[in-house]
Amino acid sequence: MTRNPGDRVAAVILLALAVFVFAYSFTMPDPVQELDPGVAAFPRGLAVLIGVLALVPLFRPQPGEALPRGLYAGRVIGTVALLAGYAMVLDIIGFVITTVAFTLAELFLLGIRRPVTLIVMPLGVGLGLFYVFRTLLGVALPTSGLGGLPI
Amino acid sequence: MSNWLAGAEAVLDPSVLILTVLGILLGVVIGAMPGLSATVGIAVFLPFTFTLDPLPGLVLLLGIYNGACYAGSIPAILLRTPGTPASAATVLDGYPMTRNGQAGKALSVSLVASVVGGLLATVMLIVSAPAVAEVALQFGPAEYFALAVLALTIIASLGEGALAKGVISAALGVLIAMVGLDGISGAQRFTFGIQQLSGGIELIALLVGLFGAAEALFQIEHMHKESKAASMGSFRLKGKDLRRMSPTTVGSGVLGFFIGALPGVGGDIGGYVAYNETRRFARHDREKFGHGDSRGVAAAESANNSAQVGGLVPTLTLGIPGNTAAAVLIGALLVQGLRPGPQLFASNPELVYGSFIAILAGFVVLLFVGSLGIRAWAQVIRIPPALLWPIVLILSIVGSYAVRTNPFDVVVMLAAGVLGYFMLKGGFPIAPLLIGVIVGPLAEDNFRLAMIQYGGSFSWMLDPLPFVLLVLSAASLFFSLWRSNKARRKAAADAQKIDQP
Repeated sequence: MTRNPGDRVAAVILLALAVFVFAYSFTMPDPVQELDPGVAAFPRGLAVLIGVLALVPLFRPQPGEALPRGLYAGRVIGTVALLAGYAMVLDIIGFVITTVAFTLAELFLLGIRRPVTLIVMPLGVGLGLFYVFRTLLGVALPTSGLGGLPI
Repeated sequence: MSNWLAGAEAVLDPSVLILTVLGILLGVVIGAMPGLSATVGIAVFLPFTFTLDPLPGLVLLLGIYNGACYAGSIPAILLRTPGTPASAATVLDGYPMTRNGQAGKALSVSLVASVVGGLLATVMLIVSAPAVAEVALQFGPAEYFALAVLALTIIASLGEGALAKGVISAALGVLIAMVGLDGISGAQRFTFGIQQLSGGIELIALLVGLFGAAEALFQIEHMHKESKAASMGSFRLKGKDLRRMSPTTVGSGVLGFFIGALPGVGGDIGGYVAYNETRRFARHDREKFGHGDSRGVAAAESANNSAQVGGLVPTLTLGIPGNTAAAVLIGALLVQGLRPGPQLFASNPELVYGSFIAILAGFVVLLFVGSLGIRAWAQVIRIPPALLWPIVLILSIVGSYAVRTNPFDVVVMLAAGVLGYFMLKGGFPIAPLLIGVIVGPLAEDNFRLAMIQYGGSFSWMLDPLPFVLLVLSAASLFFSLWRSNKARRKAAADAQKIDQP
């Protein structure tokens, strides 16, 4: 645990958010009922609360965990990128293909190199979950219709 | 009586019985894996319940809720790493027992104490919840606003990290809950013209991201620690052992229930308080605690399981989460179109009373599952994290997508996962944010309704119950401030001693 430089960054982001919410609350409609404090009252109060409390990490940063570097940072950034890719193509190429590809890439990213694991686990997870959710539980997971197959 | 009959009839359905056992099994496996808490487990298994009827779905999740709480003690005892936050106090004597070659005995004590604590708490839940729900029917906006504030302040002040960060986290949660249609006027807020936001941020996507994906990202980063095998020793408990742990187990079970019943307070606090009280009461051999005393394990485990069940009192009767995992249970009920609160007892008695019976049955199942498979569960901790966390990520995606079959919710889950990861890294507790999302609308709507009802005056805050609850809220914040100042002064004094030998 080190003195956390991220605390000051977080505080600046929170202050910016507080200023934005406070300003944005003035664009909200007036109350419909006469005695109702209105839709802007709570956001405005929260903006003040967040803004004031953000001064604590700004001026008195706490010990915290440093951001990862090197291999560890690569794992996290790579995983987020793979998840973003997953979200983008899920509806286009279907659950099974997306999941198999994601699992394979994620396992590789996490250092798995055994061919059996790299083949069996992605296929097992993709097809297994698809079967459980779509067939047994009736959850509508997207399909690609690739090669006329119902996956 | 008819409510109980309706509940019993519903539970006797074969699918409910199977899901009761399956929930406990899943919970034990989830809890035994370090990093996979009950909250994460319920979040990632939520999509499995979407197409089930409310009772079977809830029973599965309750099994995970209680099974994971027990199994968190397995890595706490064997690896000195609590499987769930609730087992943090179990480490104090559980791991020293392992080092003393008594891992098997520690696991058996943990199982018996968990089941006894859980059963005791379930009986207290059955007795108290309908009565609390009856009283809660009389509550108006003023009382609900004060209860929501109490839940937010307790969770913000008791969480790990600084008080300011806890309150900021809760405030962010309330702010996130404001996205979409306002409950009273119907006005749009924070939607920025994005059509998918007009219905609000999807709760399930948010909580799956905050707890499933964020934890996975955090664990993926830290994935270099290897778990070492421990020597088990005997699993058998003798009559002498049982007699020695009985008073502690029962006392801690009762104490844990009342702690858990406070809004926002979970098994981790229950476990620590009961452990400290047990140690304080042991006047003649207090020095044994921390060096492998089985009473320490019994106190922590009985209390954390009991607190976990106690957390269902405010969850079911008031719609205010008793702990973070219970907040996810509220999400599960909302997906089914059910709103927890006093009306639930009248409108869905078979669900409420069926759940009570299923929880009781679940603890009996846990005793069998735990004792028959205790050696096997101890092996769960050896599942390679590189295989585990990709599956958690995929279940997080399925969970967020399946509620509305909308890829936008996967984006929300991913954004919540990244936010949760940075919060974990920066020491901002996540639990207050989730509680804020759930009780935020309750606080805002009831504040505004109270103002309208009292003609624009704040005098409702002086009504007896709201006044007491708001004073307690302020007290919890001041207590937390005092505690952190005291800790800071002690740390400064210790540093000064080191500097001047």
